[in-house]
Amino acid sequence: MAMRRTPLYGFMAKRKVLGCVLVLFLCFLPKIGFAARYSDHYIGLSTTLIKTDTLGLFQGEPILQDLSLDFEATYGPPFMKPFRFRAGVGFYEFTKICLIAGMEIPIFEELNDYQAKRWGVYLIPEVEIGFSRWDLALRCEVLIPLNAIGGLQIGFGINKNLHLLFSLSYSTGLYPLVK
Amino acid sequence: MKKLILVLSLAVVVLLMSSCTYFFYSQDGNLGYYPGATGIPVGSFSATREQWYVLSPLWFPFTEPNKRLDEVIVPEMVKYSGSFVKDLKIGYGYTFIDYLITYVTGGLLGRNTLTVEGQVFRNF
Repeated sequence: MAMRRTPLYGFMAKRKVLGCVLVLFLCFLPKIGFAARYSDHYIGLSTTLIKTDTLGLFQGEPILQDLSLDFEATYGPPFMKPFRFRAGVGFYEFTKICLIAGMEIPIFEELNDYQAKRWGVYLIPEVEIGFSRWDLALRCEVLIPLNAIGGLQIGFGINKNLHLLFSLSYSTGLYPLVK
Repeated sequence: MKKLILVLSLAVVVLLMSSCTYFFYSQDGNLGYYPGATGIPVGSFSATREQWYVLSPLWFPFTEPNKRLDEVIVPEMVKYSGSFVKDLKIGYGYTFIDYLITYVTGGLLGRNTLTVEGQVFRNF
């Protein structure tokens, strides 16, 4: 019996083809073999957008409310492997400055041939201290590769008020090459 | 028609991805495996070259030092008046400065570093 070509069938077929493209992309990601000296010290930089009260979006709140933009550096000393420190500065609702400190705990991580982040799942506990507010947060983020030094990190979490957080980050990090 | 476009896109992606192999070779062809080569070691060297690229070092490089290893090795060999080089170690990655440049540009414009180490021998 011939299958009916419904719009749903077309949608599923496209999804299958796109799935195949993604699988092939992953299979053919460049593999380079060589001998090199890399530092034991991990360094990283990230720019993150965090929506603090994500559920508020569904209740008609403006998107910029409870939105913050954070710039953070990550450092992983060799003795703490695989745990890493994170610190930086954030702008809550793009105006109120605050300091951020926390950790990056890789639950799963794959490095590429440049010893940079390729894939990963990270747990990120952080504390945020500003002039008028402070917050504690715990997020779980998934890294999707975008370039040779990192990628897009998407995550969910909760803060001290048990509000749902959503984060979107351009996150990079690597073990630098030692000349 | 849409299906054909999708299949063709798939084929293009496969071709693009399958060609993403990072090669190391020399322009003069003098890079080979000669286990019987004997000589007196006269010195060792460590040289670096930077590579600039757009989006990916494999796709749109401005320079390709990995394909001109002779241009890295020969000057080092000449310094010692050597005849050949053994124990080559080729490294590839991002130094701290490379990383900062690549991060600031969002990966659109990037820089990384090739390191070549080896031992120079003289056979006369």
